[in-house]
Amino acid sequence: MQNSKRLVLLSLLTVANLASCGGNNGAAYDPNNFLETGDQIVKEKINLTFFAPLHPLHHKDGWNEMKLFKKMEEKTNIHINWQYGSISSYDELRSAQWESKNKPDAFFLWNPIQEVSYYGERGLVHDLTEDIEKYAPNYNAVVAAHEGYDELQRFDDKIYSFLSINDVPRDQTFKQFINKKWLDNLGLSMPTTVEEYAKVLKAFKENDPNGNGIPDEVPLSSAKLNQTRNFLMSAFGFVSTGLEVNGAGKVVYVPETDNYRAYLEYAAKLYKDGLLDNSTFLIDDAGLSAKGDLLGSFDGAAAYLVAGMANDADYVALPPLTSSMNQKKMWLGFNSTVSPSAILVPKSSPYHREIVRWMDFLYSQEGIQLQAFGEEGIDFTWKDEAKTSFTFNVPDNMSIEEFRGTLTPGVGLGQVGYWSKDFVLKEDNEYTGRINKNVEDAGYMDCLKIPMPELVFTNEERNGKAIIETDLEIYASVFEQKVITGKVELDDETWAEHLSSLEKIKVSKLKEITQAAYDRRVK
Amino acid sequence: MSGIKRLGIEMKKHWVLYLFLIPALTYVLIFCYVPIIGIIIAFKDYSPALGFFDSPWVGWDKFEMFFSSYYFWDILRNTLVLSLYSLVVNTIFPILLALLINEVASVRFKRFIQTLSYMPYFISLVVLVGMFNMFLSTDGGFMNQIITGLGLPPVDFLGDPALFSTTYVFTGLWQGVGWWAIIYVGALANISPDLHEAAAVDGASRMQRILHINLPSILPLIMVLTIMAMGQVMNVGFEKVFLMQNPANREVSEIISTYTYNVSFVTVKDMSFGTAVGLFNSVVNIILLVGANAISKALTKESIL
Repeated sequence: MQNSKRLVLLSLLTVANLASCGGNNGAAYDPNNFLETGDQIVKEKINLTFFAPLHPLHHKDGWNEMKLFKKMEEKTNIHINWQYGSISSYDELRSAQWESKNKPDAFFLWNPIQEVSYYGERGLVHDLTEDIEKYAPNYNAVVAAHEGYDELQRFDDKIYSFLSINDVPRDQTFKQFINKKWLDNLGLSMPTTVEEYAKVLKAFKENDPNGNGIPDEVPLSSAKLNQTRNFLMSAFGFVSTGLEVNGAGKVVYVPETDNYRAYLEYAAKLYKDGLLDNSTFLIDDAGLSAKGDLLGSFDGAAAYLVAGMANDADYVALPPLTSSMNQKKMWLGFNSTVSPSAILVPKSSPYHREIVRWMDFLYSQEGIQLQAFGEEGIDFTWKDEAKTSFTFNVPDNMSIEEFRGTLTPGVGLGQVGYWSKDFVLKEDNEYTGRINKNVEDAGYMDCLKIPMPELVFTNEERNGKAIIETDLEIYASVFEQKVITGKVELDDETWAEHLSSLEKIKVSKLKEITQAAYDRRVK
Repeated sequence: MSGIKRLGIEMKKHWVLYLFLIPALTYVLIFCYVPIIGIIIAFKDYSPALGFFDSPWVGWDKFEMFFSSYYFWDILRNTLVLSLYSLVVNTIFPILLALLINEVASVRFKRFIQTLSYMPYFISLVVLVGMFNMFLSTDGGFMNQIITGLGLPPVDFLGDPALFSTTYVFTGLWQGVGWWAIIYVGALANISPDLHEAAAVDGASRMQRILHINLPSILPLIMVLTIMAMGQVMNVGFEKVFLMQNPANREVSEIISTYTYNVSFVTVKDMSFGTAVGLFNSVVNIILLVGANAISKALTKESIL
């Protein structure tokens, strides 16, 4: 096992080194070849080597066959030699590239914030602050238009990477769905508090809302509580069940709080009454989808992913709940939708100005369209003069995803440069349209709270918290499961025991480390 | 004549045979010995950008991290329980099966049984675990339907911490028993028929012949295979445990390899830590291997070292 792992890594390194021999590092850099303005970036065509993550859905003949990069090469006069690392082991492959002598000219997409900061501080990558100021007008306009983005891109005031941005509301969080058809059948109104929610679930269970005469309804289910725990927790005052920053800027470990205790008690009650599916802790996503339209409420990115296309319209997103403990509506926001991960230019490449201008195209109107739905008038068509809505022209013999794979690497990787709400939300599509409307109606965006921004830790801090985090992950999942399934009765004694266990795992040290990193990031 | 000198002469005489050894030696050298150098990252804070040689040394830090875990003793115990439990069960049952197959008179029936019993070995682990999740589930699995049909309370094979190791070991046995028996069936087939004939003439019953001829004949093989297995005690298959893990059985299903996976790839992505734990495992394995070998040597005069 160990040996074979090493063997694979060794052969990967060898292949990676061989592959990178074909880079551009041989030719001498000519600074006069660079053009400061205009679509074209260089007078004479240049070849740059980029390392990037490859997804199985991507164009089978490589990224240069994708519409986005074809257009970009035409415009900029820069040819990219793509080197790929498969997404399944991208971390290892990217690491091997960093280790190689012939580094590529850039690492495109999927650079973890930890690496951006680490390589930046040590001067292993170009500081792009000045280049971006000078040569990236589109990008700067996008950053200026969004509050808080400027801080996100900076490390001690320096910029090492472009932000990869996703500001589409439906991607900022998960959704908790509820069966609207059942609500209507039983003449119930949308629940707003945890008590009302429990009542609705009870009615789902007992009053045969699907009208088939069999008590086969599953009021609430989830694959190992996945996001359902965050949905329930947010009714009791925190949006996550891990480390979270409270209103006063203090780092809190939620399972230590009384709010968490209230959440556990509530969930345990649901479980005991058979309202929370008793196979919750045993099933995975496939097991959840198998329950299909028998589900009353569940979490997910879209209802059709769980309940099936045919039932998609029966479900609507549930607005955030409140409880006697917490009257403020709040909802979990993902912290990675805007992240300085888009590109890193190793010091060994002289082409930082060229690369900055090349990147800037991705934040222009045309770039935004190309990286999302291809070319205007061909791959997507505006439905009206005012350009408020467009259709995506997917060929009959292809799925949406396959088709997007011929246009942009965005499919499978999440966003490329900028997945912009101003464009993406105009797509006329039954399913995504419904998700957009659900998110809007439930009002998630108005009460979104990101529990913890992406943080950067020093090596010492990382080593200090590695074991604590892993232990807590195990401990919390076991404890939560035991309490909710009733194997452990929650009273003052067991709660005190729980707190002392957390102390033994050194949760206070973890909070200390995280607080320090948080204070550095949010100055 | 000294040993080295004799080897020289031997090599000259049979040089063609030694030539055949080269590919195997090269393989072992390149893929087993060279990567051993990688062990040094267990003592470093490895960072890909700084590279293999320039990453800072941290001494025993990574090992101390592992030992400082709240769960260290739990995961060590879980690893050993799963491993030794499997070892015992997976040694005894294949031998029993082999002895039974050996007694079957009809050659066709014998082949049929053998093929049938080793077929599951070729099922992928992911599929196997998926199958057992369905069969054993309390949510309509057929095993529990039989159990409840008999009027007994349902058994939570997958979620009950007390049953996890048994479920793990016996699903593994179901998959591997036929395959592991093959080698014993082969060894039994090689026992000289003279022994059996002589015993039969002396009036030994079938049971007596199994106990006093068959079993002693394959004992050296059993010992060798057991000693070899002892060298793998700490390396409980990661995939199967990982696939079978759920929050309900986590306390007993968290083993060294799954824990290392969590630290190295999920929570913090620390490659040095994984290497340190791998090294710790190897050291314990070597101790167990040498120990088992010594015990076997003392008890049965069989040994591999």
